[in-house]
Formats: sequence, C-alpha cells, structure tokens
Amino acid sequence: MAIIDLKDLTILSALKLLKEKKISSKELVEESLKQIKRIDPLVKAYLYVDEEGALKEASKADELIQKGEEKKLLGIPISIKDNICIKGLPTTCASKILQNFISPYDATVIEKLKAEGAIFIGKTNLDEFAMGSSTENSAFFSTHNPWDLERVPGGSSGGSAAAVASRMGLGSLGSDTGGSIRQPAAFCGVVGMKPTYGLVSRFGLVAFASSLDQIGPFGLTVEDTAYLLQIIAGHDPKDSTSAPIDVPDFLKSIRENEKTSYKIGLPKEYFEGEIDAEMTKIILEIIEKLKSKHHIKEINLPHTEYAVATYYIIAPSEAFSNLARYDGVKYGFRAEAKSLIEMYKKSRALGFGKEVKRRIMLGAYSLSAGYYDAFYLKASKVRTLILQDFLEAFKEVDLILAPVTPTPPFKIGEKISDPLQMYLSDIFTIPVNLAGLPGISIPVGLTSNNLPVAIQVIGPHFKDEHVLSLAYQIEKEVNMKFIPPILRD
Amino acid sequence: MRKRQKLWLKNSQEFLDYFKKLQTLDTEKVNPTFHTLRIKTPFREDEIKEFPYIEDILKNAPQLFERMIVVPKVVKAP
Repeated sequence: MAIIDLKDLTILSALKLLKEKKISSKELVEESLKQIKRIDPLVKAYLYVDEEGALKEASKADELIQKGEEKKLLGIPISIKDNICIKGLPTTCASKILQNFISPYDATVIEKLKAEGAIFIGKTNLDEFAMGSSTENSAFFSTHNPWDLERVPGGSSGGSAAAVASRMGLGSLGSDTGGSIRQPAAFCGVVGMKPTYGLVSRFGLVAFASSLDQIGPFGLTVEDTAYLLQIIAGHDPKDSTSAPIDVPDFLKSIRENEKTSYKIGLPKEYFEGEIDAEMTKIILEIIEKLKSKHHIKEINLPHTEYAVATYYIIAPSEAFSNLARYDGVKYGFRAEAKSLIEMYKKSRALGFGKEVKRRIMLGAYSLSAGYYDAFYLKASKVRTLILQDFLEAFKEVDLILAPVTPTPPFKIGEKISDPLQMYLSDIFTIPVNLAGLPGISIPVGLTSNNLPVAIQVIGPHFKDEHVLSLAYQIEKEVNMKFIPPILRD
Repeated sequence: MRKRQKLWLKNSQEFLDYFKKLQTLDTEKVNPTFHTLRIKTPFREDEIKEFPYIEDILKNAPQLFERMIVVPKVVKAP
C-alpha cells in the first residue's frame, strides 16, 4: 500500500499520482477519512461525513482509472458547504429548521463535479444559513481554527476552510455573500475565491441574499482553486442570473501570464483606520516585492465606509424574503400546533436561531412601508455609488490589492455578543459583493502568534482569470507552505 | 422586560443608529442597484419539462396523506 502524506498533496499532484497508478482513489479516500477521525474531533469542520458513499465512489473511480478513463477530478475527495444540495445527502444550512432535510436533487455545481468524477467526502459546517463571520452561529456546534483551536476559523464557510487547511479533503466549495469564502480562507491559511456574480450557477445553493450570493472554490494552491473554478463555472439556464459567457481556461491563463505585469491599485481607505499593525506590515512587505514587476499606485474608493451599513440593509432584506419559505408546511421542522398560523409562528420561532431572527427582523424593518425609502431604497442607491467607485478605479488600474480582514483570526466568543463589531469585521470583503466583482484571498505570511495573514486581489467583472493570475504570482513570490501546527504534532 | 429582550433591543437600536450613516449621502440623482449583472431577464419557451424527483421532495414533508401534504385545518365547518 502506498504511503500518502496529505500535507504534501494538492488536487493536481494527487491527480498525477492517480494517473500514474502510484496511489489509488480508495487509498486516498481512506487516508482522508482517517485524517477526519484524527483531526475533526478537535476542529469540528464537518456536519456530516459520508464514509460509505465516499468509499463506494472511490472503488468506482479506481475501476474507471484502470480502464484509462480521463476525467478532471476522477477519484479526488472534496467537501461541500452544507448549504449546497447533493442528492440523497442532508442539507441542513447548520439550522434546526432543516435538520432532517435530505436534498432531492443536485445543485448545478454538484452535477458538474460529479460529471468529472469528484468524490464528496462530507458536508461542512457554517453559520446558520451562511449568516455570520465565525461559524459560531451554527445551530449545532462551532468550528475551531486549526492554527489555534481557541480561535474562530472565520465564516460563514468556516467548516470548508478549516477542512481544507486540515487536509480533510483536498478542496471544497463554499458560498460568499459578504466575504464568507475569502474571510475564512484568510483565517485558515488557504486560498478561497469569490467569482464574479453570475459566473457560477446558484441553482441548488440555499438562498440567503440572492443578489450577493456566489458559490466559489477553496484550494491549497491558486492552481487547485483555478482548476475547481474551471469545472463549476459556466452558464446555467436554471439560474436566471447566470451569465451567458464563454469561460476561459483559467489554469492555462495563469500559467501563460506568470510574468505579466499589471497596473495595481491600493485603495487608500483599506489601509487606514483600525487595522492590525503586524498584519499590515506583512502585507506591505509583499506589496513592496511586487513593485519590481508591477506598476502600483494608490487609488480611492471613497464610499467604502458606507459599505457595511449598505450591506446590512440589503442582505437582511433579501434574506427576509428568501427565508419566508421556511414555514413548516412542505419540508423542514414543523412545530405541533392547532392552527396553520400558530404552526407557522411556532415552527419559525423554534426552528431559526438568534442571528437568523435578527436579520429577518432587520430586513422586515428595512422593507416596511414607512421605512422602505429611508432604508432599503437608500441602501440600493448607495450600492450604486460603491459600484461606481470600483468602475472608476478600473479605468486606471487592472487589479486592486487589499487586506481581507482588519485583524487576524479572533478568539471564539470574543465578538459573538457584539453583533455590530462582528459585522464591521467584514468591511474589506463586503464592497466586492455589493459590486458583484471577483475577489480572491491568498495566504502571504504568519503573525508572531503563528496565525495566517492573507491578501485580497479584486478584479473587474468577468476578469476572474486576471485575479487568479496575480494571485498565482503572489503565491510564487511568497513561496511558503501553510501547514497548521495541529498537523505537525 | 427580560434581560435577553433588553439586549436584543439595545443591539437593534445600535444597528438602526449605525444605518443612519447613509442619510449623510446625497443620493437624489442616483439610480438604485438591485443586482450588478448587466443582462436582461432571460425568457424561455413555455414548455413542460419532466421533473424526476417528486417522490424525493415528498419524503421531506413533515406529514403526508397518500401523496398530499397535511396541514392543520384551515377551513371552518359551515
């Protein structure tokens, strides 16, 4: 039996080993399951592990590999955030209201991954309905950061980021509504990308805020992330906001552009205020190194300070509408009641957690007749100003570099009782969703406390290949392996 | 008022105060953005397509009678 060291494995390197028959998919899946048994009792990234299904699919993959079949992810174990539907498996959204829900169909991204032979090893934890920045809002349990178990892994896709960082699966899919892929990727020292709004189908993703939600990949490298994006991107008639565009070859593009020089903007507003000094120093050191190759200049995104308020009106308003479907009638949790109205009320009161209720109430308030103009409409207009800031900036520069978060990962419990402070920690990721742009988080260093620090590349609409390309260059420049201490002990 | 309600009220008030920040911007001549994709709403032919997973959907219903979802009585006897 081949010895598999998961610390050294990426999707692309595992595919090579599988093709050369140096390892089998069964061995790879078994090793990943062993890793879950070793590490997950501490990290708690998974809500559901499909051991039986994954092993069965691995045996099938091995048979196909023996026959010489070529598929892009044949035999590769990955995880999926538990708000994306895989037929026959639970999709709980980390909510009691969907605790017993079994997906009746596959999300389009899952269909695409299945067609390429991917193996789904399990469903990962999240903040309930993807509402949160720490995974502490999961109705079941909090996920822990593999770099420091007392700290949060970020959120809402904290389970996916922690799973990839802990080598419990070689990649993952998450969803990003206000930073929910990029922020946990930054906190866990992995690569995470939010593609341009419309590049990846949202069909089968449980809706939170439909004009902001976007599915995206997590990987250990930029190449793996680009490779996963390639498979899941593309037009889907089942999603009316899916863009009818040709998807470029991302992997080819980043390799061909390894030496391309870009005009890069540093938004002044992202480097001032209360940002962790040590983190800023690490980021600025990388930027300094990039100056030899790229033209870097300061730019302005003057409406940045209004982004959090805008987002926390628009996202809850959309959530208020989307979450009306959970009423205990057709699926999900139903409370015992004598009348239909009582059943609606009790099912929702007992089924939803605190943060979800808070956002439903904020949304209801913002959309109510007396406050619509002052809140929802006003926020939608400010969203235009935020979008215009970026469009103006992209007349001058190709790409933007910025921090992902104002601080390194914070401690579990540190911000949970002060929701406004928690919301403000999303300040550098939220504007990208409001404007529908592509953004990626790449790890660039470690603090003196051994916590990951990341940088964010932001690009114009549908220039995802340029975002990946600069990320690839940065990754080469940094030239570090991010292996959490939990894997070394 | 219970402690939890008080905290809830305090937090909610903080949000509403924070949102007032937007009122300082002049947006009179600005059009709202509801989503960022510059495409028109797509239309398709009104054709029937088979959906093969009806039984799987029904399995998620909290209460079934044959293939119908049961809810508390909504009509009053005359």
